[in-house]
Amino acid sequence: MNFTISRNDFYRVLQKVINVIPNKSTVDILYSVLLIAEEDQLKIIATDLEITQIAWASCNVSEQGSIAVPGKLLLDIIREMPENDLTFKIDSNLKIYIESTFGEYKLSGQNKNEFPSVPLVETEHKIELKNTVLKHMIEKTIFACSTDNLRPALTGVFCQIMEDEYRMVATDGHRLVKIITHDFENKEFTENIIIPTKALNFVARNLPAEGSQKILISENHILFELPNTKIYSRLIKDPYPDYERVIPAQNSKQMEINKEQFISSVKRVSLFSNPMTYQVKLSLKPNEINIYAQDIDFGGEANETIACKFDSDPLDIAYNANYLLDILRHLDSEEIKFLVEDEDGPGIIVPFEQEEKEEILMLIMPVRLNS
Amino acid sequence: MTRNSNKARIHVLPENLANKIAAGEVVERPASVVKELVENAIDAEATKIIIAIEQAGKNLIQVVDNGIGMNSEDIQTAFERHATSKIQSERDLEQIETLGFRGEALPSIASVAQVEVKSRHIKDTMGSVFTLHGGKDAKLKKIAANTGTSISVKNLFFNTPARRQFLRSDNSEYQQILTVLKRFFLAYADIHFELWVNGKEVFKLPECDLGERVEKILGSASFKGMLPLNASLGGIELSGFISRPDVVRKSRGHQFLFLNGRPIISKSLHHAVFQGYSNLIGPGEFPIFCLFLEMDPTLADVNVHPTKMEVRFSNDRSLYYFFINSIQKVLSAEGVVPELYAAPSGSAVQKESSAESRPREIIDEMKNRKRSMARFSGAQLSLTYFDTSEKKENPLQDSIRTEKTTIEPPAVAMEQYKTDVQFWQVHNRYILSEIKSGIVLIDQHVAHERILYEKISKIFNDGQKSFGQKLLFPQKINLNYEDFAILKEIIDVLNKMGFSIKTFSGTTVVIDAMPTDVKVGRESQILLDIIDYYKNEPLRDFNHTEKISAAYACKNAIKSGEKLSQVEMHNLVDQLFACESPFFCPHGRPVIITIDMEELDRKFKRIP
Ligand SMILES: Nc1ncnc2c1ncn2[C@@H]1O[C@H](COP(=O)(O)OP(=O)(O)OP(=O)(O)O)[C@@H](O)[C@H]1O
Ligand SMILES: [Mg+2]
Repeated sequence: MNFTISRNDFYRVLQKVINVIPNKSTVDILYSVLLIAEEDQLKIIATDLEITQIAWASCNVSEQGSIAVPGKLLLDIIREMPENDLTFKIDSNLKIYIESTFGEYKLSGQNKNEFPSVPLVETEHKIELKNTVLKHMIEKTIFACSTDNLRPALTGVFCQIMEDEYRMVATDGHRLVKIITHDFENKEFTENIIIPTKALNFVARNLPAEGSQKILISENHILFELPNTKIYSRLIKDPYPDYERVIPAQNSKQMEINKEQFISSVKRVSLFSNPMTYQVKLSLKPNEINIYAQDIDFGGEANETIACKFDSDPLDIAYNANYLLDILRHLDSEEIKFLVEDEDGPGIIVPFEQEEKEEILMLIMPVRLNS
Repeated sequence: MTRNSNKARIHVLPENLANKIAAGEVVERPASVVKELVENAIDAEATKIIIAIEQAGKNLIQVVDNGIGMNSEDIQTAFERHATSKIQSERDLEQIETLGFRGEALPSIASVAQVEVKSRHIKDTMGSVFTLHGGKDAKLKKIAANTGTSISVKNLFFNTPARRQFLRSDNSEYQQILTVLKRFFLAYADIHFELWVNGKEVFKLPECDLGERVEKILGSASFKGMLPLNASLGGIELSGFISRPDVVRKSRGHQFLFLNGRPIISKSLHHAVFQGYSNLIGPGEFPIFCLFLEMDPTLADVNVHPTKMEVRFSNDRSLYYFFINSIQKVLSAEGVVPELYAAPSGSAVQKESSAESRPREIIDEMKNRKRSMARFSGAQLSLTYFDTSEKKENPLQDSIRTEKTTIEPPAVAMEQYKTDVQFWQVHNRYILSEIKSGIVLIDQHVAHERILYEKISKIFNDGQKSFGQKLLFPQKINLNYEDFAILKEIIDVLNKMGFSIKTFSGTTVVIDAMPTDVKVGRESQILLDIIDYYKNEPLRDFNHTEKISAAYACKNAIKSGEKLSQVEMHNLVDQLFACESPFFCPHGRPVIITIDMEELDRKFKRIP
């Protein structure tokens, strides 16, 4: 292998994939990236076995070849290199030689065969989504995913590809987000898949602001074809819970409130809540809401009342303030609607007016006083 | 303790009742005579009791009291077997409030000695004197006497030479008498006691308060190292003094336990005290204590052994745990923290060097740190995938981190901790922090266990409210038969803790709410974990509720090996020091150890 590439190109490509490298793994080779020099291109691949990312840049290849190199180490080296061309060579002992305008550096690599192979995504199932839409939907959903590895389905975002809408749903069993875009068309097929949160996070980071992207879905994998990079992810194959069934169709009590006011109030009050449970109590009254928290251990207590629009019977509901704030912060509209039935059931939070071609709904489960 | 026995006349118990009384030898040695006579004086409501002995009681034991006395008829009846004024019926036997109840002592003593009783009943004008020689030759005379009773027991075992032979040296018998007497001296500070030995006054203890009496009996040096204890649990009161763990003895000789004024010996309660000290004391070391347990006499059966010192408690498990807990509370509050440098031989914690690190102060110091509100980091919820340090290097990259997303803890929160107290996590297991006097190390798992356990205790003991986070998708679990049987045992307690578990047909259960502090990610396992723990951990000293609470606390607590953020450590430490006994986990394992600067300096040879 022998190729020459500008330091900046190399650095940019390596940076793209570097975060895929797991922080901790029992498989040592995963700490490495695979460098492939072929046909005037340098490809760099990183994988954690769930997600694989390939990025590339053009370069001058005088001899094709590939080698695995410790990724973070390589990044540290390249970062310090002068902004000129770098030449990479390997010898038969898997030593890599890097030449810069200042001198030569040597480090050890590993055989390319030890590096896991890139998944094959053979499929007819292809969709296209606008970058802005996809990014927006990822942002609105991944925060609500679970980290409970014993319930794998909830650690990903449930995506439903329909004929003229595309949905993403995330829940950890305490709150749920459902977002639908109608800015979508796909007459070929319908499908439900669960994409790992981590993959979506990478996708969002690599999405350019403009344009639209192709997404390929096979039986077990999903492939995002982005400019100068491809992100492969394994799909989560566990069954997703029947979320539609738990979203109440009709919550009779409706409160309308200014979101920012609500957020800052809950935020202030929850400072006084117990830091293990973050519990706050909302008392809905005609045209005002009272927010209350108490930390018995430290004798802290807070009480605020703000105006809202509410004309049903008074109602007290308690929530984990963190869940509530998470939800509120992920809504864009200035005014929101909060719909509840009773102190035991799910609360629904939606923007006062939905954006064009979009439907978003957030749900939060209450904390109930044990009787 | 109220003694209504005095209104009753002495009568011989019917045979069937007499047979219910634990039989056995009453008089083994002089000390047993002393014990029986002093008990009788106390039961007679004496306020002044004078004991005189000669030749370690082998020649003379005399007990003079100013109690209610006996009339001439009663004196004679008193020496009949199973004659007592203290119980009438079987029901009385179940709620004994007097020290005596068998009607055995006087006849037993009289049969092996020469006895003379002078007594005048409080309502009489004349007294009587009654003598018996080996239980025979009864003689009664009227005499002038003070109210009260004086009994002298001469030449013990004069008619059973073999037994007299078996007595130990005078010194040894005398020590036994002292042991017996000290118990009464401690238990009845409101009685004036005098002890005369061979014509010389040895003790003169005017009526005083308990502290003074304890100080007199244990010596002021030991008393300085004693901590007062006061605890109660559902009608049970425990009070008295326990020694700091550095004030220990090499034998049990300084351990006094009383049940409703009766000196008792209870293996399990002595053990509980020992457990309360956990590893603060080494093997072969015994704390000093003087503890008074007051409870409904119907819950304790003293009719177990002829010495009346053994007790069967109907609530012994909760009593055991109540003891441990009460002792730990005192030790923690007083700030006796286990210190790292406890000598390898297991000797007592050295307290003298820790004038600065008195754990009371450590608690205060740690508590006072709660100046910042460690919130909004979303510590519990955040999904963090990216290394923040890389971000700055990475202007080219398009990050989804916008102002509104909280994928990472906001930088502000982190900044705040730089200026505040720092915590370090050691091997993802211990939390290390600096305190005035040195450093403190906290075991993260047991710390959290303690926090959770106290929280639940508050629900069960103080009626604090419990809350359950409702689950959007109720969890359905199919249990095996064994686990299902266990679940049925514990479901009520779990549901009070904040769970909402319902059983369905077969062995299926559905959970639709969990206590609010169940960590995200632990939800799917927690119930099975609790069942497992409940099934497998012995936890002998715990009652039902406590055992379930302990199972929950252990299984929901942060594990050893879990990485914690600054914020999480901060919260954990705050919560820990808000606990009633932060220094011990529910099983009695230490949660916190401190290392003094002095100790560090010594290790680094800065000081010799
Ligand atoms: N010092 C005393 N003053 C007044 N009454 C006494 C005194 N000593 C004994 N008596 C009376 O004599 C009775 C018999 O005493 P004795 O010690 O034999 O039995 P007891 O105290 O009833 O039971 P126990 O065998 O458990 O001690 C007592 O019940 C009490 O009424
Ligand atoms: Mg008696």
